[in-house]
Amino acid sequence: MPASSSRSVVCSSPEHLLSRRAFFGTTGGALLGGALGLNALAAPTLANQLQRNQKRVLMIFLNGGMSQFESWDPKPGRPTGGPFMSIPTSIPGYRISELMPRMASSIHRHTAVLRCQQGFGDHTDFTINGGRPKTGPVRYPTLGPMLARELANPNSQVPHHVMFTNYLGANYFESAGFLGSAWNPINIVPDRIAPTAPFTVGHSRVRLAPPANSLPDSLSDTDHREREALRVQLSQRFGVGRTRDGVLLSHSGAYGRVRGMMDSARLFDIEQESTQMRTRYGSTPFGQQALVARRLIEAGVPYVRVNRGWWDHHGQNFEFHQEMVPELDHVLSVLLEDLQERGLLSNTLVVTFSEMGRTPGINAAQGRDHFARMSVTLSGCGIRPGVVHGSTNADGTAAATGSVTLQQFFANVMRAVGIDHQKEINNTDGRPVPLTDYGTEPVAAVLA
Amino acid sequence: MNHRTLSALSLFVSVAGAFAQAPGVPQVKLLRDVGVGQDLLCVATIPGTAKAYAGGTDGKIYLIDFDEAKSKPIAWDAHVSYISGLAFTGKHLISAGSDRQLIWWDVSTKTKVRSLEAHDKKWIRGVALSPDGKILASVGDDMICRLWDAESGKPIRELKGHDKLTPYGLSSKLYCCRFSADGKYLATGDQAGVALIWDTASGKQVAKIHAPHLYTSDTNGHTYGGIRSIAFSPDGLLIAVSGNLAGDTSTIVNSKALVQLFDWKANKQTHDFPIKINGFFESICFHPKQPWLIAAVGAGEGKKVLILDLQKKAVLHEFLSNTLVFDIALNESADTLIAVGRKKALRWQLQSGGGTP
Repeated sequence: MPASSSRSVVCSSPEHLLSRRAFFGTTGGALLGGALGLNALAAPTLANQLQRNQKRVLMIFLNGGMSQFESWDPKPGRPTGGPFMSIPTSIPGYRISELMPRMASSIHRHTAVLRCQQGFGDHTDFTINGGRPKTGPVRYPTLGPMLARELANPNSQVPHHVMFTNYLGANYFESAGFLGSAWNPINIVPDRIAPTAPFTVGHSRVRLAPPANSLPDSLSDTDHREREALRVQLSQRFGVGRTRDGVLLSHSGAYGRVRGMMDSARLFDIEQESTQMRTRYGSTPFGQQALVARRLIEAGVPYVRVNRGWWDHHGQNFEFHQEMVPELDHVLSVLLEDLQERGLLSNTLVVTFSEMGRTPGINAAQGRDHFARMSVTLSGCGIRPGVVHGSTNADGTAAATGSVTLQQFFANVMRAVGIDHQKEINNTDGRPVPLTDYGTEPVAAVLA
Repeated sequence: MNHRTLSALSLFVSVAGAFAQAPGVPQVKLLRDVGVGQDLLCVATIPGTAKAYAGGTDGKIYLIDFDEAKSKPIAWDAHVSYISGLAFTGKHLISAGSDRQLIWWDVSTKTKVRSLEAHDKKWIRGVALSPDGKILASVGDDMICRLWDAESGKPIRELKGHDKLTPYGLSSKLYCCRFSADGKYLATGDQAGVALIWDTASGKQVAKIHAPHLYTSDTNGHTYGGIRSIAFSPDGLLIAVSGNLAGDTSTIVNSKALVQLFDWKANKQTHDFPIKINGFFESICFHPKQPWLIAAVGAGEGKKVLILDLQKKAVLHEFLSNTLVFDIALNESADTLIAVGRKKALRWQLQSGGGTP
């Protein structure tokens, strides 16, 4: 339903609770700011009504590979099960790890679960590349740039692709491939030196904003704008007759977004959020990154990826999952609640996606190794909640029913946000390449 | 002598059943190696026998007789998840588990005497029995050490002082506890590398030791480490804590197993044993008659047990366990050492060679 209809304003659903003051405040702020939505965050709980039809994707990527056994597909009491129990969820008959009590009680509201067979389990960008080959003449883009390109508002000055990562995740960058580097993410990478504890709310001591989104002292704003105008003039002159030059277009586009980025600085400023809100997300770096990601989504950034690592627990698997899964449970459930309260969840797809799964076998170091099978979740926009698609056998060693491929999963993500997953894009040679492989069919059961 | 040479020597010692002859080097002889189909996480010896109870990841308690060459351990279903701690009072066997249950067993009938959800629906990480056998201490992820009447199971008191969150804002874990030899004190160790020493009679915290090298974090707040085992020296003056000197990027790779000792009353570190082994020292114990600390490697790549010389502050001896070891225990006369670990239980004869090293 179009959220901007008059009916939605008086609907009692929290999704539709939007006051007249908030609406005009937001709109006015946006117009004054010159960048739609950049000032939308001053009000505590609202979405920009003008942006509500814009779809967005917020990806939580689990670097290193979270164990499906300690999360979405537990096997308690089995030799492969590990020490954790399972608990019932709000989806009848579906149980998840006891480490996820918050999602267990609310999973029916927004979320669908898919069992995914990725075909390859190792530390590469294979997963985020959808399993497509990295060799050959076509440099396929990864998921993020495709989504950013398809969802981006050409008139928006906010970034269209932002990624929070850690240095362990640096090898898992999104790559725009033939789409051109303009669709690569703005990477917000923390310093290599480990942050110093203690973490407190608002002081998680990780980088939450791009390091260079303000002018140096030696350059005034006026000077910068004049230089940009000159650059545009020269670039347009140079671009005459070069309309298909991808490098030129990427280069020009990147410069063109500089002002938008600088005007977006407040979006990355977690201090703009109340202490209450920061506390709600938690003081951990992941929690604080998720909160800034929400700010970006709210302002219209079409694709944000938050990496949480490091899940590659070849040793001490249970100790680490006992620490990290509850954090994921907390952050994910708070994020979904917050998006729902702000009326954003109907237009925002939240994905949890893992680099890989972990083996059923428990090794000598009480760890689990790499495994090419995992569980993934889709929540919010375009999703039929409460669906669990596919199952594994008693020990979780193989699919029992309904395993999906990476390409199918990608197709589901795209269809959920209204993208034709078979849409063809011409690569640099002019050859049409579909967003997902020809013949890929999404799982209809999880789509709204 | 490097580690590889030491290991080769130890393998020879273990396999051939011969004693190492160097003066001052402990004599170690493997007496029995019992295969079990499950990982064994904890052990409790039975005084006066060559038997021990072991707790498995399958929730079973195993009674292992090391004197019977080909006997199969007797096992019974005890918990519905991993068994994390065992204590034997002579009358009862008390087991703790990841299923949150603290269970008293009549070992003659292998039936439950009582079962308690002892730690606020949190995992129970370990138990310790006071030297007089009257008090049982248990630690769990509620970050509380609880004292129980070991006979009746009635609660005595709660020892609260460990932080519930790590410095990085994640849930902490209270891994271990141990009484001093005279029973006057109790030590507890948590994930953040904090050891607290308690007066057993009053329940008051009397000291706090911080071993920060046992706990670290990477750039994304991914934390690891913790005090996995703790022990008082026989004279009660030193506290030893063990775990892992965590590396920069992963818990196991390029890390070192670590033991540190502290004069806990002076809050001063006295010993530091970072050993280049990819793994954790999961279990430690002092030898009651020798200046030795015995440390076993679990949860990593090392498959060995080390004897640390507290006077020379060096590795005195190491010998292969051929499995990862998750718990060790000396018998009452300290001449045999029992270890349990990856699908195995082992028993060694342990003597001093040529007098005190």
